[in-house]
Amino acid sequence: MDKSDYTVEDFVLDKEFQMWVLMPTNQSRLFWDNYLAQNPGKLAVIELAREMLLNMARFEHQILENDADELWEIIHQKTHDIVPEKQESTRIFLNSKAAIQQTKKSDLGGNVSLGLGNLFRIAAILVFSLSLALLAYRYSNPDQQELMASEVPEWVEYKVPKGIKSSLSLSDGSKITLNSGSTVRYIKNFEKDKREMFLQGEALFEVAKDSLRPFTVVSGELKTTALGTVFNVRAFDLSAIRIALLEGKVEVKKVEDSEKVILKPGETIKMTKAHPGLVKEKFNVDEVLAWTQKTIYFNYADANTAFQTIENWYGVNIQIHNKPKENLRVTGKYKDQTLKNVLEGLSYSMHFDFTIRGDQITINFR
Amino acid sequence: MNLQKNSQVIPASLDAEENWVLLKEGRIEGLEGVYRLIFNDLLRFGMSLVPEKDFIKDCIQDLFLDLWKYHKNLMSTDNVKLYLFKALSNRINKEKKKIKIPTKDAEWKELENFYFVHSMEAELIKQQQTDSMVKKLAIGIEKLPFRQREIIQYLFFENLTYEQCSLNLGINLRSVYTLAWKAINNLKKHVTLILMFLSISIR
Repeated sequence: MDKSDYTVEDFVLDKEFQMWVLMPTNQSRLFWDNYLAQNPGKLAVIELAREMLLNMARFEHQILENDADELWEIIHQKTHDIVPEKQESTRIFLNSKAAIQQTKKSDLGGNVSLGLGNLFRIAAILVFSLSLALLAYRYSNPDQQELMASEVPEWVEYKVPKGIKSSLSLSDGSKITLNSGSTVRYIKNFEKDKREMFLQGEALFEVAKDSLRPFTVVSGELKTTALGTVFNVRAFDLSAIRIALLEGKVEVKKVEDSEKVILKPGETIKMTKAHPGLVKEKFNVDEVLAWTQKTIYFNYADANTAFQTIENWYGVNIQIHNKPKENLRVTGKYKDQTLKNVLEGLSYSMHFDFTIRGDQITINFR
Repeated sequence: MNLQKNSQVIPASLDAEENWVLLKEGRIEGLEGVYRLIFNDLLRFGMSLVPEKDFIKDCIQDLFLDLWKYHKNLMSTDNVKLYLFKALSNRINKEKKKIKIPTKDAEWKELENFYFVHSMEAELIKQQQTDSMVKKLAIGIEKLPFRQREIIQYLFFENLTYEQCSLNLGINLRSVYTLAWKAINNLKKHVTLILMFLSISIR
């Protein structure tokens, strides 16, 4: 690029000129010495440009330590009055709180005043934000934090409460979708030679390729190792774990002994107390991934499994009166349904009555 | 394995981008995380555009309330700070017409209360710089029109690339350069007066 007709402005804005003035290297010295030899008339212009660059300054206005805290107090207060705008859902979020609220409202009869409705809304938001605040706790002192980070590995834990699903992007580009009532824990930014996650509950892992750092999920007694693949681990009950592979290749190994198997796409491993061995099976993709599509999928499920799923999905407690028949099984698919609709659907096939009071559900088998 | 006993506690020193993800999911701690990490930078940047602390704090407050209100529609970003600079600058530009900003001349008397910050390796050449040159440049920057002042902040104090400036100002690279050129041109005019004066007094 020809710089022989550069003005002061051009020099000030020229990256190479800036480098020469502020962080000179031998190479840049050579270049600009040469330039000056060829363009001696530019000396004055260059001097001024250099002066301007070196002395570029702005007024620094005083920021007090409590400026941030004071303003945060106000912002935090005011967030309580804000009802976030309706979302197009990019994450899987089952609005069970809303469903419960609706039930509450109708329990009170049709004549709910506006004020009361708002009260519920505010209360719900408060409960929501409080529970979230409990979920993730940041140390308030960043210096201390950095100090720690350099010495001991720093563990990050995400816990998704019942009734909520959440997804999580990791620093390596991997994505985790967490089912309700699930927890993952890992070392922030991982270690140099491995990416290890500890899971309780259910999650879908979409692993970014990194051949130098294998990605391992530890769930109870099983260790699943992958290099760049998509798989689902279900380990709510650590004595009944299921791992299903959708893409790529994973190795499933027992933590304790050396028994291991390699899974291919479409294959699943189930390990239960009754069958502690690692046996491969085919699986139904719709069923395994239903939860990521806001779908409850019962495939010949017994009553216990069905109600546990509902409790976890909607974040409710279910009380059962009278025993269901022992061989009672249920099959069905509920996509993005309210709690009430799901229970109504089940009540016909399973023969029960139910009442919903807030998050307490009572089931009465006929 | 060095697992912490109390697994309920998340010792998460999330960075701004990770907090942004939480915020997008409607988690208040994400909003707070972003706020805590970026507040000082935002306030400093805002006050370099309009040196009125209370006004800038109001703008920052409204900005964060909007982030909360519209968190579901927030875009993914790999540079939260840049994104917020842009949002704040737009807000300041819009709101500043509504307030009366005292003229700089009246404030110059109080300049001793401020201190100067050199964005670049100024210490190395301290002996060479004249205090009046520094001050003249700082005053010159404050007298620039809004967008010119903004581009100077980006290029010389926040160390953005021309490409990042182009994204943040919503103008093409050519226009970024033209805007920066005009800003430097104005600063040059401001500064050359004092240089002439200096060279005369030396003689």
